[in-house]
Amino acid sequence: MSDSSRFRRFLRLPRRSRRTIESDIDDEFRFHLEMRERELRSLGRSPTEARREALRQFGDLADAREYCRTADQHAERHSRRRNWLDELRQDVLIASRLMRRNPRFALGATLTLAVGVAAATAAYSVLYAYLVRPLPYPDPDRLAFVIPGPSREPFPNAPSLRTVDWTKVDSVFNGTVAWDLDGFTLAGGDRPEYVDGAWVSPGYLTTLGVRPAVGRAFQPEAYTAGAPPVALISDALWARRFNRDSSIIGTTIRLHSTDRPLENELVTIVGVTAPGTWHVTRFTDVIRPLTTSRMPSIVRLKSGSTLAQAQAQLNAAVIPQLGEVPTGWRMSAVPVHEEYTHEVRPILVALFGAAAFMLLIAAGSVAGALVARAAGRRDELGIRGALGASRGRLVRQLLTETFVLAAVAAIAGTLLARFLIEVIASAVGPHLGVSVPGGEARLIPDIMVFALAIIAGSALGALFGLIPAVAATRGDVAASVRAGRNVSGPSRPIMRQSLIGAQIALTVVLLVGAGLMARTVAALRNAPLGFQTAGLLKADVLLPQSRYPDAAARRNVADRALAEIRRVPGIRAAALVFPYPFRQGGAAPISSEAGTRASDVIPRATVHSISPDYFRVMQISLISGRTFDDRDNPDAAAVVIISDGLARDLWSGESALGRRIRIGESEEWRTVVGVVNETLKTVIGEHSADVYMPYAQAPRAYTSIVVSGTSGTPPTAHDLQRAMARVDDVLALSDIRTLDEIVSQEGASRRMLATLLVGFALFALGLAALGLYASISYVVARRRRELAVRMAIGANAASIMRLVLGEGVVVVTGGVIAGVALSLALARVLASQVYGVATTDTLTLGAIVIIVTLAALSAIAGPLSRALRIDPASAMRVE
Amino acid sequence: MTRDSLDLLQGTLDLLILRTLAWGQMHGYGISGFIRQRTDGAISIVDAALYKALHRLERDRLIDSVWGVSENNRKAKYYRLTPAGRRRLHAELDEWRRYSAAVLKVVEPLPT
Repeated sequence: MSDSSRFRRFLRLPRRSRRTIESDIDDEFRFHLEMRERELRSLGRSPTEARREALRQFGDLADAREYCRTADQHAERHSRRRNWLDELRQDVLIASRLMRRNPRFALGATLTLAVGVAAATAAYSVLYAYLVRPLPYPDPDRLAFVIPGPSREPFPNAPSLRTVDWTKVDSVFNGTVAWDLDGFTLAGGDRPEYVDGAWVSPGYLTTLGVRPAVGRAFQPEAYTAGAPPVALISDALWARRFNRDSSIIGTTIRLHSTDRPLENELVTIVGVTAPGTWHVTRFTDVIRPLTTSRMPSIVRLKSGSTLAQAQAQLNAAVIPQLGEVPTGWRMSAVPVHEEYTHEVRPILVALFGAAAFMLLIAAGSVAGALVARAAGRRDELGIRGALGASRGRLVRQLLTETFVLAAVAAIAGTLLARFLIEVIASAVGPHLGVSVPGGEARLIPDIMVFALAIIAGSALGALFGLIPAVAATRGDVAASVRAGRNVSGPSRPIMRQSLIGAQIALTVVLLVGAGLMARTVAALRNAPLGFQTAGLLKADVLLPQSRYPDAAARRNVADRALAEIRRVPGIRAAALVFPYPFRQGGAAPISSEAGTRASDVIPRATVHSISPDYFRVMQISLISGRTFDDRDNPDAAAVVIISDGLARDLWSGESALGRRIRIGESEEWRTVVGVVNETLKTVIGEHSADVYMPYAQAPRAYTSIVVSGTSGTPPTAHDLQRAMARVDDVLALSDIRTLDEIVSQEGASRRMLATLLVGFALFALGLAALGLYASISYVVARRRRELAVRMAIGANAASIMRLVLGEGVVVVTGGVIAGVALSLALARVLASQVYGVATTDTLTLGAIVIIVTLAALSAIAGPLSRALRIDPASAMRVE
Repeated sequence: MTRDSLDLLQGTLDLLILRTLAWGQMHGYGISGFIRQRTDGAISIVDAALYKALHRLERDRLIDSVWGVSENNRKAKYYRLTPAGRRRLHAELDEWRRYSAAVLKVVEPLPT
């Protein structure tokens, strides 16, 4: 650094303007000419001659003046830039020196901010992956989901779409995508394997841009009935099962379809889809060409056509084919991204909002700590002010300090977030109940998001840094130095108070959210399911058509399998059921032979096919009649057991036993022989009734097995698999889970939200309490002398308490009231996630108010007792 | 430039200024007089050229300046060497010595 710039800055010399530069040059030249004149005069020249000679000797004065001006201006610009950088470097140096001098404060503040930044960044990354990042399909904004109804809710008495000719809608769109999900058992090798798959229309590959990385796509002829069976397999299956061997292309494997058992099981692999190919439905290992017409699930809008237009054209093509439809029924189209993420959107918004609140609370508490600390630095700032530093300069110095702290915290927080995301990546999808669009690898956002996080974090820190900077430099800082103490009187504490008040308010909001979600989780756990889950294990199994072509064969193998499983040590009972409870699936309309229906709406029920032991294994209680037994064989009369809710709906309280029902569009009448307790299929969604048929009369090729262990703990998957293999080695068990897992899956996203909110809220509560503690301590320390004087002249403890508490009580009360009001205003955000409790629940709000008040009281207690223990004599002597 | 003074080689003026300021801070008039004196009038610099060189050197941060008070109580601008200027001076001096020695080797001694 040059001396002149240091000198100039030290004296706070104004920056040199063009005019100053010119007059400086003139002064310099004039001095020279005058000196030369004097010299010449002393040699005996006349004044006129001397002046002329001096000018002559000087040479081209105008040219020199112009040259010097340009050079000086250049130098000035340069030095300004350098000065600014010098000052910045100086500020950063001061900042880092201060941090080193008080490392505990620096570490605490940095960590607090870093945790806030990490939470907000991680939450934003998840939100970004789900809601912001475009789906990994070409031009994804033009893709829409087709819903066979006016909304997502099931429409009562909706028309059957079975007869619709879907080719009629092809002209409405720029491509249609239809699929039929299926599961396949992949035979051969050392073990059979059950994989997810789908039958897809030609549009699946072209419209969604799904391309094979190895081999080729399906030829157009593959989509015609009777074409040689072909399949595309996923990269994951290729790696897992075939060791990435390219010679697999063109060879034939044995694939048993679950839903289409009559399809030829010898299938030629024609290609492998690219790694990272994402299927909007669920992970799909096997794709086979769909040879029948099917309702498109996804359509690509024609360019220039809006969603509303497309929807109108769709209905114009479909509704005339249906004849009469119920009033209000129509099909609708929804943007794919919205449809895919609508269930998780509120959770993600709530989560990000909570994390952002936490970051604000963290920044606020660091700012609060800085305010108190900066107040203690008025002497230092005063000296600098007295030496000529302007207020702007001092603010800039304090701001730089905060900025350095915030930048360090932002970088640390972002790195922490990056690490966090990597750790939670595989858990995000299962917990939200919707897998990450495009695969979990896309959870890790691009570098721009991280850069944004660092910039936003630092900027936030600097913004909050303004508060202490402005507070500390307010008033006549120089005067307080001259007086040797703070003469500006008790500095207006409004800034510090509002910071803490705001922290308390945001903390209340987080606590209310956490409280509501905790109560939701409790309500979900306590919901009466109608069946037992403890110690139960469930597995799915497919009985391949080629091996078990008819009902008799399936009955036979099912009996053998159950007998074999019951022989496994540790297993108490086993039964067949399909669908198992909580399995997502449709309900069939149930019609009764005679009787008075409770309402005009045709009741619907989930139709299960079970073996006789099912009710015993699941502990579903029989209300009247009997359970199934060996009598209910295929030669006997068709029988059913129904749930009590359905009995009420069909016959309004009259006995259901002996009455007959028809399921769906089946022509067969079945006699009710028993009534059982209704079970929940879902805790939160629509409830539906149950109809049970004996497996012997409805032997499905795909079924689930539920087993209970003797000791109350579920048997191991391994034991089950071995037992099945002893029966037949093509029987692959899949999706083996405990019933507890299955039931808790539904609450998973809410549990995650609850856990995170509780964590955030406790962090916030801790920070707010700490901020309050620091603030009251600061007040007590500042007013020590005043308190001592009051005590000396006989103030009692109560009046001292009033004095100290006055501020704290106002801040806490204000914060709590603002927090409750804000919670009520924000209740909407959580409305869709809360279950079994109102978002305005007074019990929760009351409990939160009490918790916050208790925390505040305990934060105040320390400094308060210090205030009461002040020894008047020694306190006054210090001054 | 007076007719009987030596023509200055390119860059030599800078060297002279830097060398002069190595004695201590000096204003432009002083530098001019100092050089004339030390060379017994053999080198006299056109004042315009001197000031152009001074401002150029200041721009290049080889020298810097402060306003001070002259011997006769007048406000005058004093120039000083910066550390960078001092380094440049030594480098140029070495260069100059090598150069003049080389030239002298060719031209001296004169054949008789």
